[in-house]
Amino acid sequence: MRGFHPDHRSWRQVSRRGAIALLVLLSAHVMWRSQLPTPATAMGRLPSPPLLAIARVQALGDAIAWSKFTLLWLQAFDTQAGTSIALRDLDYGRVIGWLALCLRLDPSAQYPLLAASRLYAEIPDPARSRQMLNFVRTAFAADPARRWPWLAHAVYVARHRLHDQALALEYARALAAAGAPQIPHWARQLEIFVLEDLGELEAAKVLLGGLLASGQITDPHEQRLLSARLQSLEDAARAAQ
Amino acid sequence: MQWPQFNSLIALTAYEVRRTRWAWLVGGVVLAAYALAEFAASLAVTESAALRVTFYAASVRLGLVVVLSLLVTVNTVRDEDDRFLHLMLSRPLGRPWWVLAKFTGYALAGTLAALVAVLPLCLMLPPVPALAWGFALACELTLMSAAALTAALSLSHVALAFCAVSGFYLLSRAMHAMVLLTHDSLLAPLTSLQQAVAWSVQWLSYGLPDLARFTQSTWLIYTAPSPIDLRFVATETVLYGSLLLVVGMCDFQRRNL
Repeated sequence: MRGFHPDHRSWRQVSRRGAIALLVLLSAHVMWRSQLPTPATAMGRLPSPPLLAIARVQALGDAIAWSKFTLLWLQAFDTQAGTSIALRDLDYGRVIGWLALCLRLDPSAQYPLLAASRLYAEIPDPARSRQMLNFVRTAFAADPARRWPWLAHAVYVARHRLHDQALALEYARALAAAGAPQIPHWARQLEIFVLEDLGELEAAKVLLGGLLASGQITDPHEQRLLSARLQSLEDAARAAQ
Repeated sequence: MQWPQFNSLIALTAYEVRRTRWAWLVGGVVLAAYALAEFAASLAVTESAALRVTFYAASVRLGLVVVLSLLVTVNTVRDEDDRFLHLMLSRPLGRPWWVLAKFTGYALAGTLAALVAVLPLCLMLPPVPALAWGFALACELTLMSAAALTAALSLSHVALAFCAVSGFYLLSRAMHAMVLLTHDSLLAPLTSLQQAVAWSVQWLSYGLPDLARFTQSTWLIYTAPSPIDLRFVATETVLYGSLLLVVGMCDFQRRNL
């Protein structure tokens, strides 16, 4: 068999001693490596994120690629070779720093907020979870049109995981108050459902009635659904009296 | 001007490039970049398509710049070491034309590599952003072949020339961010020394091409480039490429061979 270079001789031309030495050394190396123990893992601490300007230099002009690569690295940080760090053991201040940095370098990306709201916020540690939800809330304010899904998810986490209705109401109100037309009606209506959970039936009724009267709901199915909801709220309010 | 000699030298450079297995190298870089991109996309929780495209684009660009720079520096230094350069210059062809012919051959090799690199992008994306990115890559590779040729002619040593080209590339890509860094408002008010550094970096940036504006990932995943973006890329390539070639020609004319 000819080699890659046309001027090379066939492999058969290699001396028997040379071929044996090659095979022996290769086998010895494979056997030696297979006998070695698995490398011991040293649990690394998440480093602080660099300054935005430094990160831009490191990105060599391609901030988006740098941001995406960093997100993958951050996502994999809790699963280091041979060990696994619980998310709650990570330094959340630093995680938020990295996520914020990635978002600054690639403001159109959804990945950092998805990771924040669905990965890092859904841990059984209310303090850290709140920290992450607060990051989502802050990021939402900068670009509500693109980032509303993550605040809507934050409402869910606050309401059903943290059981903090006041926090859920704060986020739901932020969603309702944002002027971006891209935010769908169901997301704006979250405030009504949270108020209902809080027993604020009158306030929920007023909001729902106002929404229906505003003419913003044009879909007949949605109008019917919300009207039925308003009716049930009125019934509940009447029963409470 | 002897066109037959000039054209023959371009053909000879193309033949040299073919003999260095350029097609295999380019194919290998494209395949490796695609495999890396697929691996990265498989790790992503969301935006996997954007991640695949971004990783492919960033890695294939870097890979092609490295292999093209190596190809040009090694071939140019070898021509000189083997006295092949002397043989060529004994023909009725001036030194500047020799430089221009070599550059044309290498620029063609870079453009062909950019064409191959853009093919997977055409499968992943609509043709307009993919082709615009491919055009910018061809321009970036053209500039790098001019830089590598000039460095190899001036330094006549592969390791030195390759280090110089790598430094030039890294600096040109990072200069935009370095200018921003030195003018960072966080550091305000600037001391005299900081002002001097900021001023020096600003002037250094005027002497380098702004490669950060060439092959932008944002064109591939968010907004297609505007005609202004592409006009900038074309103008910078023509202007800075000519500057590099003239530097190489001037230095080459000074040499005692």
